[in-house]
Amino acid sequence: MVQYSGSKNISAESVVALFWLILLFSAVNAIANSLYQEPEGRKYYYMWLTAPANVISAKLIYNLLLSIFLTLVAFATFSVLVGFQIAHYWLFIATAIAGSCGYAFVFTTVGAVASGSKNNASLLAILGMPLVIPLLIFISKLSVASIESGVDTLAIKNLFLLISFDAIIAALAFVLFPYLWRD
Amino acid sequence: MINFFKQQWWKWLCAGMLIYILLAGMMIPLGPGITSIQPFVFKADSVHTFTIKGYNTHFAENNNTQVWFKAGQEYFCTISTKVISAEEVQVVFGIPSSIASKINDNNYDVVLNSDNDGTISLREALTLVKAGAIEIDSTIEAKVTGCKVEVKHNQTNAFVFPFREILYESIRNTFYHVPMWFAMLMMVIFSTYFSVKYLQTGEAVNDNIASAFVVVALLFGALGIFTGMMWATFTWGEPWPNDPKLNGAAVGVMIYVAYIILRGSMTDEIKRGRVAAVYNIFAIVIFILFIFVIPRLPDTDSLHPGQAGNPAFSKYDLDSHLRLVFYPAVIAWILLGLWFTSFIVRIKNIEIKNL
Repeated sequence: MVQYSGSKNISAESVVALFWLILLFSAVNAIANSLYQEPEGRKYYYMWLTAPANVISAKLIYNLLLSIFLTLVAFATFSVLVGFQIAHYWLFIATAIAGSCGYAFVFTTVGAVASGSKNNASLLAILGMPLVIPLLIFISKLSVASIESGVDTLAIKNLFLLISFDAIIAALAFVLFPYLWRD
Repeated sequence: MINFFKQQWWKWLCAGMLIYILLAGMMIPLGPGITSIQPFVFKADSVHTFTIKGYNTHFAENNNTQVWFKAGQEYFCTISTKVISAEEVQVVFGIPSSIASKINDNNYDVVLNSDNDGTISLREALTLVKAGAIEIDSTIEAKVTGCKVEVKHNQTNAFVFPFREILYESIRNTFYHVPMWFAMLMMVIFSTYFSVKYLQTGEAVNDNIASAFVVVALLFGALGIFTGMMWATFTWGEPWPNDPKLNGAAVGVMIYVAYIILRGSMTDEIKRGRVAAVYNIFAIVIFILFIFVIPRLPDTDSLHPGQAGNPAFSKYDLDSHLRLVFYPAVIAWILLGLWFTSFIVRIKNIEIKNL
């Protein structure tokens, strides 16, 4: 980063790659904090209060909003300080929202799985990294498509694939969370 | 499943089939084919002597050995053909630039016909360089073009595996590399089935079977990667080319390594079983995404057959002789996986009893 800002000759692709890397690590940390900083007793309070499906949907929505907020802040900061050279802003922002949605869903689900063990923050990284790779593949393809002029139908197809990946993860979280919740 | 594990018949079947695929897969010879031609670059308007090297061929003098060169749709005869040994033929050939300039294709295939080996060929064996000073006389032109071409396309009756350029003897890896992934996929599907069963019933034995299946699936995944790397070194020139299918398989294996780490990080048995089962169901969805969806995305290139416009493996290469070994191999490796799993489950049950 330091080397890049010194040289001033940053290609559009590497700016986007940096953006997504920074976003990935900030999303992991933010979601890990939101999941594991709640006190032990509160879980039992929730169990007594409501159904597990409500708890997981609340967690998914909270983390989704948190990660979209992070994305928008990072996007604004990047646009001002580094500057994107993007041909299609709508495609990039759609990718950013769908991608951060995917980050939130994957790490919420994996975080719920990892919460059973003691050192869950490092386990979150081990379990989550292979699962975000399909997301990263779609995101990198879409980002490159948004830099290049001329949007083809392939980019739209990839965007739909990304959104359906998000939907699959959310549906899995919804189905599987009640089994984790029973204690 | 425990009852199936205790039965004997399928273990004998598995052992017999494994012996069969090891013996048949290694001992059935490769069919005849042309490996090389020297020199592989020639000039128009001059006469050259080429040495054609065969593999597993049976060239002989009184054997009707005929050689043609094919460019585009045109066949050209040789000026003379001489059999040197059972695996070597020498031909004299030249082409006038007046004929060569009519053909757009500068790559010449070699087609060889003989009674013992049938029709064998080497695609794009020769490259024509259009630079020649000596005009060859019209008798040669008549010899080269005015001949009758009778490509018989007869196949030998010998029981052999197909000879493929680039693959050569490594075609036998079909019985090891490909079934490894079939077996891994089956182990992972069985594992998911027992994870679902564990979540439904809560019986610890189902959790043990599910985790044993994952261990065996990882073994097959590692073997699949190793055999694939050996094959890639031989055919593609490097052990790990940047191929979406390779990377997808590596990440698929990583997902199940994470499953083992997840199980190892927890001590409470009921909690561990439940968390592992939930992650296992989550993992198979991503695994299938990696193995079947991502390599087939419209804009991905792959070196593997059957993807990204490459011909499917079964379409050209998996002939009836290969199938005779390949299908038993798939069943045998899957049964071997079940056998390994039954060992791990038995060891776990003994450990539980001793506690």
